[in-house]
Amino acid sequence: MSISSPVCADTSAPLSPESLQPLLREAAGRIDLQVLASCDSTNLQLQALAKAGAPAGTLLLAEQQTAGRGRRGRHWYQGPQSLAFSLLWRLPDERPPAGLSLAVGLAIAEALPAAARLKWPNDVLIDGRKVAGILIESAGTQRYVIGIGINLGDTDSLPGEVAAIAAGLPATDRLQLLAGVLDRLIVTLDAFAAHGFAPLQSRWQMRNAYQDLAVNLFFAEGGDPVQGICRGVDANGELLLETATCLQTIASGEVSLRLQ
Amino acid sequence: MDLRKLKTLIDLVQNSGISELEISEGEEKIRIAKNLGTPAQTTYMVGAPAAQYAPAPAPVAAAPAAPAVAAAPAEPEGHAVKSPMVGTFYRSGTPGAPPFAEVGQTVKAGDTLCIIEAMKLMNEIEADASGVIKAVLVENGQPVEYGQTMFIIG
Repeated sequence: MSISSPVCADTSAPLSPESLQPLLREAAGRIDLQVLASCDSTNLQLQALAKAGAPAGTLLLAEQQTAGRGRRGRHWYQGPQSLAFSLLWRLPDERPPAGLSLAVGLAIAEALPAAARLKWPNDVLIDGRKVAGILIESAGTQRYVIGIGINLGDTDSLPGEVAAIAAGLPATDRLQLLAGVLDRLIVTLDAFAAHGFAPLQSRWQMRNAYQDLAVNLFFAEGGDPVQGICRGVDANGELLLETATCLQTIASGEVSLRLQ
Repeated sequence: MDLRKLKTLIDLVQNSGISELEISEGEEKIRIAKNLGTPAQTTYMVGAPAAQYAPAPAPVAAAPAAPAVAAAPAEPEGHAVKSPMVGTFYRSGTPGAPPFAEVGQTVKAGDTLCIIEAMKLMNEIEADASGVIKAVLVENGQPVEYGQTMFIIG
């Protein structure tokens, strides 16, 4: 599926600090946007800036990524109108990062102008297809590079196997969409900094795409998947998987729907 | 801390070369010590001041010092780099890339040793001591538990 954008859509609205600033509410004054026409990966570039001393709140957005990254070396394909950006953020010293990736996914899902659901830990889905992906990497003590990609416009230009599982939002006003996502993100990150994932747990659960469904859990080291029923997440954001023998909490793995 | 987590920790100590594991989580402090030849023992304390559970240095009961050391696990001696979280252990940044740290390599404190992924959050784990990597105790792509020793730096 792809949602084609109207011909007259304002898809070329230039993204710049000046054009974004007036649209921000909660995120106003909290982020420092830098726009690149093209780079290898906004996460990689922001890691370099972080090492050079960039402050939390630095936001790097690229109109094009030549080596956009997903988890463990996977490529992130970026359509011409899509959004890809990375935010450098710092958590308070006493706040463990457990659940941060789920909090970020929730913020995006809540900001999108469509009924978005969540696949543990942090994929954002529309009609079962991925519309946004997140990759968070540590960047020193309590500092994190939060990489976010949101598909906008036609997903037909993506490689076949990706187009089949990707969803695209109408690219009518990406500037407004970006502002909305950033506002929601800052509010959510503030809540996470103060109380962790626990207060966000119920909102995440409401959007759980696989709630009470049969799933397979695959592990990085390979081997047979664990079968179970997805029972949501706990207060740390770990997956609750009901297996034949017990209710397990899972910190790492890949979940997929099990066809009955 | 729930019983399941506690059980995991006990199993971890039992099945590892670690003789003693001490964890603080908020106000809870837990110390699990393994006696040679007997099952792991657990001391579970809530809000106990540090002084109360500090191990008494001298009288380690009957076992004479030398045999106790000789009976110690086959891990090389040195500084143990332990996992700060539950997750999946990766030795390199991307699949196919060279590992951050190999046995025999000299590292200094602050160097990246591995990545632990938990809920798609990639945590670079840095060496907390300088020296030579004596052992890598976890396989690439394997799960690690909280407090599990991943590297020995000598």
